[in-house]
Amino acid sequence: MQKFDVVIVGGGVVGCAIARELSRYKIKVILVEKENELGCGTSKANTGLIHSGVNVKRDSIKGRLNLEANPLFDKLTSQLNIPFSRNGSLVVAHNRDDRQVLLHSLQEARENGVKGVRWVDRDELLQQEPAINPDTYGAIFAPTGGIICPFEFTLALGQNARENGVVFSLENRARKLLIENGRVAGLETDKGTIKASFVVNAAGIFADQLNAEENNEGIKIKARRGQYLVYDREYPVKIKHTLFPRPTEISKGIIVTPTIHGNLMIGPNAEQVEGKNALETTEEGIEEVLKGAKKLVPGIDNRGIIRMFSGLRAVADSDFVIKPAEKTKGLVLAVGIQSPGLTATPKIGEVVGELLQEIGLKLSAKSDFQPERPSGIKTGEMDYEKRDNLVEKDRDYGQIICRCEGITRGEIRDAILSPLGAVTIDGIKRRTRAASGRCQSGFCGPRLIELLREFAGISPLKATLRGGESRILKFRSKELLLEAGEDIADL
Amino acid sequence: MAEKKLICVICPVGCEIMATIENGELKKIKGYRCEQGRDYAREEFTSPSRILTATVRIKSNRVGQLPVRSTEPLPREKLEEAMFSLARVKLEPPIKEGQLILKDILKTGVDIVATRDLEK
Amino acid sequence: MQTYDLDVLIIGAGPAGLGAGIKAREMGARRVLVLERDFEAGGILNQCIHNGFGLQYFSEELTGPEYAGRFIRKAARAGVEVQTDTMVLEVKPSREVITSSKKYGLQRFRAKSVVLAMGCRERTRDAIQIYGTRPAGILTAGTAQRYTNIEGFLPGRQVVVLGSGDIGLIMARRMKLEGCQVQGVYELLPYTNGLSRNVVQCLNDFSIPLYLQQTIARVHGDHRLEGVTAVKVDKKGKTLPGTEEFVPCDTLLLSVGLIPENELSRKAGVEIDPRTGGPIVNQGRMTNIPGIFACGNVVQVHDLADDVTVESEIAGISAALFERGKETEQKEKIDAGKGLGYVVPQEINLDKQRGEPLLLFMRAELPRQKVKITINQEGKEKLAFPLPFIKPGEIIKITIEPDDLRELIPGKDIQVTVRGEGKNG
Repeated sequence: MQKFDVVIVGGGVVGCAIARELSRYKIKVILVEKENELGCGTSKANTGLIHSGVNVKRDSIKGRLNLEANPLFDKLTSQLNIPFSRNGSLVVAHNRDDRQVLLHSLQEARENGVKGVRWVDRDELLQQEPAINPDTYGAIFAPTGGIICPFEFTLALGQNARENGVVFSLENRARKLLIENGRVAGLETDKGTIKASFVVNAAGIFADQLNAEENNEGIKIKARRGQYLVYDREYPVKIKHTLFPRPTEISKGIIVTPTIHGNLMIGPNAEQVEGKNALETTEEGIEEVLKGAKKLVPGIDNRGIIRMFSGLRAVADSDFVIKPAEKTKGLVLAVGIQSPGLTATPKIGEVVGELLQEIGLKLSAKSDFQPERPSGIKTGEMDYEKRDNLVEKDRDYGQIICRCEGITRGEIRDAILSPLGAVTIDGIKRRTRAASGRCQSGFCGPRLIELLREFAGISPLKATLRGGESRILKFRSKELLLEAGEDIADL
Repeated sequence: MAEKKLICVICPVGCEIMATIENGELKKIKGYRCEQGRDYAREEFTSPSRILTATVRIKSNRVGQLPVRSTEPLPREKLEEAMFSLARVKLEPPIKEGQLILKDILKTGVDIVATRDLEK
Repeated sequence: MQTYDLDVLIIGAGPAGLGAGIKAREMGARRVLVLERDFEAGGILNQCIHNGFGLQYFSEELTGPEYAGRFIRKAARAGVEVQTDTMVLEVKPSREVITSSKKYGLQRFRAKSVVLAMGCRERTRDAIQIYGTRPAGILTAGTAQRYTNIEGFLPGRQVVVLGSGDIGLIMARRMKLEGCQVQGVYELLPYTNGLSRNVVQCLNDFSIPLYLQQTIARVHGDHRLEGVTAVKVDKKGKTLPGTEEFVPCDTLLLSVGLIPENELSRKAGVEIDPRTGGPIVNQGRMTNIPGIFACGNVVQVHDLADDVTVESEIAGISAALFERGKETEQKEKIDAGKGLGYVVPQEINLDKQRGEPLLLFMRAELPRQKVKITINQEGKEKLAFPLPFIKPGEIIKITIEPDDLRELIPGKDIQVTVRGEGKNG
């Protein structure tokens, strides 16, 4: 039986941020994740925004953590070596009423210490963003708003935690908390029992399925679906900032934003859905997203779409739930992390660390904690001379596999062989952007399957889109004929 | 007397050909624009046949299938049966375009040949 | 990084690139190099194992690999160099081309003329907005063709095809011959987009149903496709509520359109015609950038490889002549008028075309019978070409003979339209 100090349940961005935070200390930590990959739930399918803190309430947990976490991203992303841009956000007023409300929000943001916020009038707004709806009454400008790739962020946190000693157990479902005398004794998983005195529940939309009665104090996690559209990088409508409408009671509204990779993205709508698997896109949902986006940028249409997707946000309450469980000693909840969860993650890690300490976990800092995660090679960011020198040393960086995004064999090889490496087509895609371009793997799909065989030893008939039964190729050519032919021979 | 319409498959023009059939016999055809079309229509009403194109398995580093074709059209109703014969073929390169892959498939007198070169 | 000087540099060793290369050599260009991203020359023809190629150009019926093989051998004999496994990173307007390859690293080529022959790519599920989950088992027909015919794998056993373009029809038959169950081919329009002969020999021969004015509205299945919702549509392509039907399948093949692949062209500053999706070219297939030419599916999505060859030979000749200063700028515009989706070339220099026939490619917007294609200047009909029928699925080719070409007035733009027989309009 394995013995650890802390088990983290859930390998999303929250679980990985907690893992990285705990990896600073001299304790044994394991993270269990049911999928064969980190960040497979909400963490891969969201807007990827680092919110400035405009329109948040300081007296809520999510508001406070948003405000405190936003300034941490410059250092954190540079340590993790992932792209991050403070492209700035604009909350746009469409009428006088909006303007009144937003001027009030601006005042509140100033009081909350959001750096650099100011009002921009119509003329300046249109000058900054010529594609925006000219029927506007100005906007709140927040220069600290930013964009990030949420999957890359999750993976980088996980990889850095692993470098610093956290054990990752993937494709391992948490079945049941082991509780002895009212306190945590360990976790039963698909791959055996893990003994531990502390467990952190960071299981996202599935968080209420872990020993529901004992520990959740009636918390129910509902899934709120958001649908998104991503456009070709050559789509003629260009914007620089993240554009928000005036927010509603429950959501920040449908947003128009560039992604960190330079695509235009619009969404999400907000729909309460039954069950935790309702990851479809729907006609109504996509139309709602298009309608909302057109209100901000009238030139947006349904041409140039390269991807539609939907993501589920875990909603427990109106606020995050981050606290020690009352009935079960040793259990910390980090659940109901809806928007602005991605922004808050660095602080969530810290808060969970403090809570564990409060309930008895001894934390003493390691002297050899390595906060830097080495950067992978990205040939697309190099000039031709550098790139040529690189190919001289390592020929794999010369062969381009994904023609849409210009990703080389070397970069895909690295993605497969690196710690917590890719084992599926989606895994390669999220790490390298191969197959995420306009052909959506039409051309490179066969090559990616070949590389999974070469570097991960996965036979083509076992290669999956994203694990489980998502095999891409079911038979060899002629296999069905031979099968049927045998039937004939049997008769 | 019955009229039957068919679309010629000889070339991309795709002529619409009308045939008049009386007592099960082909009496008249019109609408074709070339002799090949006329011959095709005659045959299509009596014994339709098609060139078969397919692949066979091959053991090579770069590809898993070798494209092949029938040298002459096969009776249309034998196309699917012919696939069972091709499914059993497995080759190793080198292969030359035109190389005989399967002789006299289904005793039709028609051969199956490779349609490309393939090096080791 | 090494720099190489060339006379003609061609991007893409499919039928277009090879055809252009051979002609350029025949016209006297000395160093002609074709760059190919795949491991071998031949392009998409290598996976198009079916017959139907070459009837016009070679007057015999060949399969795709045979058609490609003839050009590969001919190119070798003509002294055209081909460098495979090489991807072009950038084409500069100065006709400098940067490439990357495993074997040679980065290379810089400086060419007197460049021919763009990158072909086209397929529209995807997201581009046409099929809603639902994101399971494995949804592929473009061309990708499935590559898996089946070259790699040696089948995506599944129960197949639905969306789109009745030629690739969709060909793949329906191909999957059937491989032992799959093909549930049907669904087509949004009231008519097929493929050649009539393919409807006959790919669907009718194998009793594969064709459902016109029906489309796939949703896909189902968590990890792997479990079925699709087919739905009927009205004349405008809008789905008709209440007509939804669940069709079980583990594979959905999409044949929903091809798009000329012009990312390199755009970055080089080549002007694109929104109607073709390809560069605006003159009769010699030169783009708006002097010395940069284009041919084949990069210019317009052709139905036939034979037409690609014809177009590539035009581009190859012009590319070879350009280095000797014999290619001039375009003058008159050729516009697609009523009834036509596009006309290629979009520009011409009438003076330069004297004594040579002019070949126009165009695509009809709707199927019609007994029409004439008219060539107009200043609102007046100058030439008319009667046709028994036209349909969007089959490209229209009009050759204007040198004598007729004299009817056209230099310096005046040209409009091409479809007219009903005997009527003006």
